[in-house]
Amino acid sequence: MKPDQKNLITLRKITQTISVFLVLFIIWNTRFPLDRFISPAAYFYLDPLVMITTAVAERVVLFGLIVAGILIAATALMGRFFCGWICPLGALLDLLGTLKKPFMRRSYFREKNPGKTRFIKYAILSVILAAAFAGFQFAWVLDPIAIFVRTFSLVIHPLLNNGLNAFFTGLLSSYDLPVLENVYNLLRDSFLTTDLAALENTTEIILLFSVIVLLLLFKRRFWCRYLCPLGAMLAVPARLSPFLRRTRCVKNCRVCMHTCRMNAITADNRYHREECILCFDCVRDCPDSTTYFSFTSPPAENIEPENADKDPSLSLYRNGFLRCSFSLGIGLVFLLTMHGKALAAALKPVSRKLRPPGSLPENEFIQRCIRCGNCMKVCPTGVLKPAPVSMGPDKLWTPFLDTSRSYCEYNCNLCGRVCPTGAIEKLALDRKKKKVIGVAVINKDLCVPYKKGIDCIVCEEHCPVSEKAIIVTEKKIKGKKVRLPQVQKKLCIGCGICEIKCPVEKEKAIKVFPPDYKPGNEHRNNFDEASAG
Amino acid sequence: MEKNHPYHQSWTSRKNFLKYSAAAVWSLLFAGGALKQLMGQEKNLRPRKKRAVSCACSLAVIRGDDIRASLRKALDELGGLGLFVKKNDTVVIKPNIGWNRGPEFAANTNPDLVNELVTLCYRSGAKKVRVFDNTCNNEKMCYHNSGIYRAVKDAGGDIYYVSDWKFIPANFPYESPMQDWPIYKDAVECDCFINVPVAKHHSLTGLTLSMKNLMGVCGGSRGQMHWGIDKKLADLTAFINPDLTIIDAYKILLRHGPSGGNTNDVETRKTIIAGPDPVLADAYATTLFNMRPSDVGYIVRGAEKKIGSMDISSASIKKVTI
Repeated sequence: MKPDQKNLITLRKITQTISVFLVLFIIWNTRFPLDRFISPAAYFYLDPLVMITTAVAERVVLFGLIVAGILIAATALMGRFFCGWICPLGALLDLLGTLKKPFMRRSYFREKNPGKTRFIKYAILSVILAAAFAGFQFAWVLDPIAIFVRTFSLVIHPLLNNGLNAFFTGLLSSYDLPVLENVYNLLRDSFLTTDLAALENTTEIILLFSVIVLLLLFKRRFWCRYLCPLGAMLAVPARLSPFLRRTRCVKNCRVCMHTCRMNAITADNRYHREECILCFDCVRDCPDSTTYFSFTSPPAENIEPENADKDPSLSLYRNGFLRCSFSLGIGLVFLLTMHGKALAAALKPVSRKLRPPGSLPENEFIQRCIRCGNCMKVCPTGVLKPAPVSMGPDKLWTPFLDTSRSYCEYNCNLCGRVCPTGAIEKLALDRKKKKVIGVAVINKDLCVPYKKGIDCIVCEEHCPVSEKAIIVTEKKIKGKKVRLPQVQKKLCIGCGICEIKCPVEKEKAIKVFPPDYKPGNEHRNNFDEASAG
Repeated sequence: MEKNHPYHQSWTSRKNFLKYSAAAVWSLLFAGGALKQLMGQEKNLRPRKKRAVSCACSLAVIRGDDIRASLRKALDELGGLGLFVKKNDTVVIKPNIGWNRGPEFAANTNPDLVNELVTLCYRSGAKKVRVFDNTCNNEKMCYHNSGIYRAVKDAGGDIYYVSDWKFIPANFPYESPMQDWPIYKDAVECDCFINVPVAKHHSLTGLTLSMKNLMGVCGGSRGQMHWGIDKKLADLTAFINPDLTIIDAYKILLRHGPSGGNTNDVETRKTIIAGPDPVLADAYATTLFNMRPSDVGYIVRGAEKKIGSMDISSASIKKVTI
C-alpha cells in the first residue's frame, strides 16, 4: 500500500476544476479579436471520437488525429484517465453529483455487481464507427466535448450575456448611475455583446443536456457508465493498460464496489479495467487501506490464484463477440434508414440556406461539421445560428446564416479560424473576402427607387465589396431623375448587409439567396431575374 | 450561540435582515424603473446650444506631412482650442468609425488625428472627453480595426459603444422631417461638440463630410434618413450645432465610398480643414474632389437654413502649408 495515492484525489479534483474552467475560458475567449492563448479547437483535437470518425467518414487526414493519437497511446498506458481527470462533461457530472449528495437516499450509493448495461455505449460507438466507414459522421450527436461546448456556447453564454444586458439596460435606462454605466462600458469592451439573439433553435440542445444531467438521478455518472461513445472508444485501448488496481483485500467488505462511481468493481473485488476512470475513490475508501494502483504486480504471496486468472475484463473476448456483432447489425439498419433520409434530403429542392463563408460543399459540410458551436459563438454579428430540425435531421445544429437577423462581416474570417474539423475552411482575409455565400436579388415591387421614385441606395452604400457589387444607374422615371440600384452578380458575395440595412420595413426589398438558387423558387416570387444584371 | 437557536431561524436575524433589505432595495429599484418607463416620463431632446466664439479666421486649411502638427497649426490659426474647450468641459468628439476598415482605406477618421485631438482637449482643461459613433458594421470590429479605440484610450479619452436607451426622440422647435428621430443623448448633453469626419465619396449625397458624419449620433432606422436626406442632414446639423468641425482630408476616398476598401481609390492630400462653421468647412472640402459646394445637396440646404455659409470665395480662409 502506498498511502500517498489518497492525495491523488485532491489532485484529480484540482485537475478537473482546471479543465472545466479552461474549457469555459476557451469558450468565453472565442470572440473577436480571438487573441488566443489556446485554440478554441484544442479540446476537439484531443477528442479521438470526433477526429477519427470525421477523418474516416470524410476520408481525410486531420491535424487533430495526431493529438488524439497521443491521447489513445496514453490511455493504452494509463487507462481512462481522460474520463476521470480531464473530460469537462464528466467533471461537471461529478460536481453536480456532489451537490446533490445530501438529498439522495442511501440506496443511490449502493451498487450491484456490474451488469450488461455498460455494453450500450459500445453499441453506440460501433454504430458511429460503422456509419463513419459508410461515409456518415454521427459523432456530433453524442460526443461529450461537443455536447459541453455546444451547450455552453449556444445556451448558457447567450443566457448570461443577454441577462447581463437586460440587467444593465433596465437599470441604466431608468436611473443615472455613472458608476454602473462605467462597469457596463467596461464589460462591453470585453465580452458583452448586444448582437446575440438567445436560444434560437436550441430546444434540442437544452433537451439533450438536461437528459444527461437528469440521468444523474438514477446513478452517479450514468452517462459515462452506459452511454458515452467517447468513453467506449477510450475503453478499447484502456484494456491494454498495465496500470492496474491491486488489492491485498482479505475480508471482501464491498465498500469499494459501492464507492465506485463507474460501477467497475465486481462483488468479488475484481474490476473491469476498461471501465475504471482512475478516480481513486476505492483507494481512499478502502477501510483497511489495502487498495492501490501500480504498474507492477504485488509480491507473489499476495495474489489469490483464483482471482488472478479470472480477469473479468477479458469476458468481452469470449461472450462479447456476439454482442458486438449484434450492435453492428443494429448499426447497419440504422445506417440504411439514415441513408434513405440523406437521399431524400438530396432530392429536395434547395431552400433558403446560406452556409458560412469557406464552407465545404453542402454534402461534405454536413458530414464534416461536428456541431460544436464554435463558429456561432465567435461570429461577431450573430448571423450564424444552429439549423432547426425542420431543415432536415441530418442538418440539425449545423451553422447557417440568418440574413433576416444580421449579416456576414466582410472584413472577418473568425468562423473558419475556430472550426476544429475544417468544415469551414481557414482562410486569410483577402481570400475570405472573395468567398461566395449567396447572391443578393432586388425586389422591384418593394424597392423604393423603383416603386416610388425616391433616392435611397442604402444597399449600395453598405456594400462592402470595394468595386461595389451593387451599382447605381441614373434613370428618368416620371420626369424625375432617380438613382436605381442593380446587383452585379459576378461581384456579389452574398454577405447580406444590404438585406439587413434595407430601410424597407417588414418585407425587405433586397434579399440574399444561395448561389445555386433556381428561378421559380417559391422564395423568389417577386424577385426579378433581370435586376441581377 | 448554537446554530439551531431560534434566533438564527427568525427572519429578524442579522443575516436574514440584510438579505431581505437588499432584495427589497433591488425590487424597488426595478419597480421604480418599470413605473418610469410606463409613465413615459422620458423627456424629448432639445436642440444643443453652441457657445459664441470669435475666431481669428472662419476656416483654417493646413497642408502638412505630419497630421498632428497640422491639427495644432489649424487650431492655432483659429485662435486656439481654448476658445472652444473651457476648463471642466465635457467634450464629445465624433469621428467617423462607421466601417470595419483599416486606417489606410480612408473610410474612417485618421486615428492619429483623433489621438492628438483628445490630448489637446485635455490640455485645454476638459474634464471628460467622450468618443463614440453608431457604427454601420459590427461595433467592436469598427472601433478596433479603425485604430481609433486604441488611439483614444492611449490619450486617456473615454471611448464607448452606443447603448439603445440613450437614443432619445429629438424635439425640433420648427417643423422637421427629423422630428422624433432618436438622437444620442451624450451628443447633445455636452459642453463642446467637435465633429471630426473624414472626407470621402458617397454615391447618394456626392460626398460624406461633416454634416453627413452627424448621422452617427442618430439611432432608429437610419436607412430611412436617405429618403430626402439633404433636408434631414441640414436639420440634424442645426440640432447638434457642432462647436468645431475638423475635416480629416489627409487621405481622401475618391471612389466607391463611403466604405471603400481599395487603396487605389485613396488619394493622399495631407490636408486638415478646421473651423466653427460646418457648412463652410464642408463647402471648402468639396474643392478637394474637384466639385463645387452647390453639387452637394446638404451643403446647399445648410446654407439656405443659415447654419453657415457655403460661399468659399468671400469667407476668411487661412491657408497654410507646413
